[in-house]
Amino acid sequence: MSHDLARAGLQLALLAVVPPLLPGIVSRVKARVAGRKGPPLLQLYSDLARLCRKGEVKSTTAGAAFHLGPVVAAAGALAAGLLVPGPGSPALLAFRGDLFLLAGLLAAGRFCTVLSALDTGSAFEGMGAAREVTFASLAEPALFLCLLTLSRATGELSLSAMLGPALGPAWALWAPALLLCAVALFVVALAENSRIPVDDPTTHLELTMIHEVMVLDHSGPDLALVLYGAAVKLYVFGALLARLLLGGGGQGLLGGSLSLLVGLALFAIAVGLVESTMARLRLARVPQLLVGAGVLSLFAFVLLVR
Amino acid sequence: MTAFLAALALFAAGALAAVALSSRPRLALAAATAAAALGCAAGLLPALRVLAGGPALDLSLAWNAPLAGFHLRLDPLAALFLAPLFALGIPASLFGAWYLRPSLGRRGLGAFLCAYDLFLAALALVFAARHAALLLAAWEAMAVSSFLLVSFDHADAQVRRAGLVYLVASHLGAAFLFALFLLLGREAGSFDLDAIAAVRGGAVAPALAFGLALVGFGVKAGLPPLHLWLPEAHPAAPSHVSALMSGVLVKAGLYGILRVVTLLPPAPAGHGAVLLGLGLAGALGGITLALGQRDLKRALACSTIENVGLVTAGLGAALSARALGAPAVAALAALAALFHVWNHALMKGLAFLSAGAVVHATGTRDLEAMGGLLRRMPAVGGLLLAACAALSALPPWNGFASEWLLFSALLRGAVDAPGAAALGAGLALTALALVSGLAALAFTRVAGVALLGEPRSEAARTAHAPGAAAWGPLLALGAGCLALGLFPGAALRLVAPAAAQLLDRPAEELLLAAGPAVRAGGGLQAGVLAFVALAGALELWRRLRVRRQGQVAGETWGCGFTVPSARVQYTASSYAQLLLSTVAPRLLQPRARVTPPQGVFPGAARFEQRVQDPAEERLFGPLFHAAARRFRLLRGLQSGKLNLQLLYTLVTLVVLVAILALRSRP
Repeated sequence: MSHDLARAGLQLALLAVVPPLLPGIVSRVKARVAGRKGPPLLQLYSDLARLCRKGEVKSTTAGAAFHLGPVVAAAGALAAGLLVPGPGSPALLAFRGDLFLLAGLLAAGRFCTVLSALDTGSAFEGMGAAREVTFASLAEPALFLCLLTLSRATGELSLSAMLGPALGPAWALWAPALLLCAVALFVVALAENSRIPVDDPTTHLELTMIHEVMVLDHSGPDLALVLYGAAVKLYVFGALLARLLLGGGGQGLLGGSLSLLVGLALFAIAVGLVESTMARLRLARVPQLLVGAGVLSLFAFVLLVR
Repeated sequence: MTAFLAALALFAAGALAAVALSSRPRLALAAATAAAALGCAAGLLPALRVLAGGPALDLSLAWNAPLAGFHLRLDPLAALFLAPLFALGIPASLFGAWYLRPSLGRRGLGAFLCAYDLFLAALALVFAARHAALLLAAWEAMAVSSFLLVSFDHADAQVRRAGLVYLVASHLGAAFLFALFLLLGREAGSFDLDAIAAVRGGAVAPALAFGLALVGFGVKAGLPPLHLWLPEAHPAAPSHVSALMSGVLVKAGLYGILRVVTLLPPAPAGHGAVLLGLGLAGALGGITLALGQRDLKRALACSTIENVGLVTAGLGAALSARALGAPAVAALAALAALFHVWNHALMKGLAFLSAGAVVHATGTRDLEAMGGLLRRMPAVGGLLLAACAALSALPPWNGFASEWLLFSALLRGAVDAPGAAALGAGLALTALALVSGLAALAFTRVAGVALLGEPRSEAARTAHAPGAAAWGPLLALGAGCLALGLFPGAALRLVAPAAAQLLDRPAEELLLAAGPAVRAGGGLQAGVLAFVALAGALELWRRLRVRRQGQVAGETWGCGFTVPSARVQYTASSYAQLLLSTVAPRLLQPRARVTPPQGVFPGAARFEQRVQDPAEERLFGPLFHAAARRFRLLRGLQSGKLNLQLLYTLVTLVVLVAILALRSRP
């Protein structure tokens, strides 16, 4: 019993505390590749603390829907985090078909972020909002196909089970399919988290931005929630990929935690490397990339069905 | 059964009262509304009792007409469809009483109210009829009364056109139904559905019967490519009628298909596959069409095509899975589809009613003339926003619960089934994922452009919130949407008997297959509740912070653009443009006419775009034009001269007598 409690506590603590580390790693990697020293690893934590202490500026155009975005996006990402398998153990919440709840929670967050952006009446934010949902509508089939392939390979219907013990035998049998699936999932993760090559989280040229332009008008605690929610979302995808590639994760709490943290760090480094070596794609190319990811995982699925 | 008959009697009394009191419109409106709402309340009880496990109610009366019979039966399948009719009927009628108040002085209000009550009665009879003649009579009464409802604003040419399209579609569909029931009835020797069910269609080829039902009922259900009337008729009708049409009338088509499926031998996998394919095509096509609409209610009507597609896909998956021997998948899919019937009735009812209030306040249905309405009418706007979230299948709303079930069904099919079936389920799952993504695009577009940002016109700037009479019914529907989303297990318990009837298996077994996730305290419910609780906690934290640290008002940051105005906002067309131009197939892309700014000192520029339904443009348009050309040749016969008409009659009589004389000769 106390072991269970400790496990749940550890999972919650990881989910709550680790996420802001990931963007730190990403920007550090980017800085290093570019030959700069880069910001401290824990920069985002201090940013969040500072934002929480600030007041906020609210647009005279914006109404009640303006605050929906930050709040619901953060809550959705955190709730989705509850479904992600923990270190060496199943998730706090695991049931057959939980992958669809994960997608639904992230979609709810996105829906509200988009409404927040539209509530400011800004042309730029409207543009970002339209792009975000358009690309998300193409990322969703790819994500579902990835998870479907995983599910078929392991014969399991919940995230915790398909990324748990069943994963080892599945790798032995279906390595090529799972590898394709991991690549597709990585592309989806980049798209869902507004990373290069789909979106550029650091640019401040409005015409090229998607996610960033939607949150331009948020400030203070709102902005803190936006940044934190985005970090949690990155954590969710990172944890899924880490589990997939590390074959179900290590044994026990300690081993599991270590493998999860190492996996997350590797994921963040990979994201950083992609961001350093690639340019943002032209807008019209993005759908092709996402459909490509879908086709990859469809191919993986066909390999399994054969 | 008494309560159900009381409901019918109340509807009839309301219809009579509406006509009798037509010279005193205020009283007529009150009487018709009261009768409709009370009738719905009376009917809801037996429907729910049957679904809660009560015995099926049966009533058979003598009807002295050849081939006819008056036989009613409230079995679970009928009750499943009656429940949303009555549950939506109460708020819709009350909302109608408010909505029609400005029309009190109009001629024809009495007739409209009469048609409204008759419409409710006809719908109830369609679901309860257990005799083909009664079913068809009710079916036609439903079509005609709803035609009258659609044509309420008949001074408007577009409304007349919508009514005509609807009437033609209805009757073409009904022709197939007559053929279907004549075939089945001849085989069974009786038109009573019990008799037809007993012989299971007899020697009639199941594929033929299924095909006839699919076309005949499919017109009403708005299955592609027979959905053409739907985006025309829904927006033309007054909003509370649109809500009922979309929430219930369209479902009558689905009900018909299901009823015929229960009359025939167990459907082969092919029939299920056809339904699945049609459903997916409808869902994808409908939501893509919705993306191009500037008319708020038209966009909602197109989303009805999408949702009917989801239900149809679920039913198709259920029938296929049963035929292929995958009972768990069949159970999940059937539960999902039937649950979605309820959910769609509630959320589309909410959407149409709140859209009605918005239209009422702004005097326009054009999205580009709205904007900023959430600040001016927070209650109604908030409820429309909720409806949009539910229609985008987002937790914690009810649309998510049924879509989750549907996804789970297909996932299980794709994981367990061998070969082609798994591939089919996987592809269907992917298509539905795309549909839900596009739905989010379509409904952020509707909600964002209509409700948020700066007002886009003077009408939107001066719009005012309606009183409690309008948003009381909305609030009830919104609460229903939330309740079914938070506690889907309880609703599934009521849906299960109908699914059991469809699949011929005990309800308990189906619920077991649905898994513990949706039960009270199950994983899905826990996850959704955790999400709601987290959002609540974060909102509370944010408020406390802002209260302590203060809030300053400022302009929206214009990126250096110093004169922001409502006209620089993203429009409904620009919002969907990226998807429609880069991803959508050519057939579904809007036709745009652009006159770009030209020269060193550019003058006026123009941009016009129109979304054309490919079914109309490529299929029915050419077909009907060709038919009209041919029929023009016959026009000469119709000279209108009395003596000629008499001659035709005489010739017909002679021919008939001659045929009879020839046939009676030994």
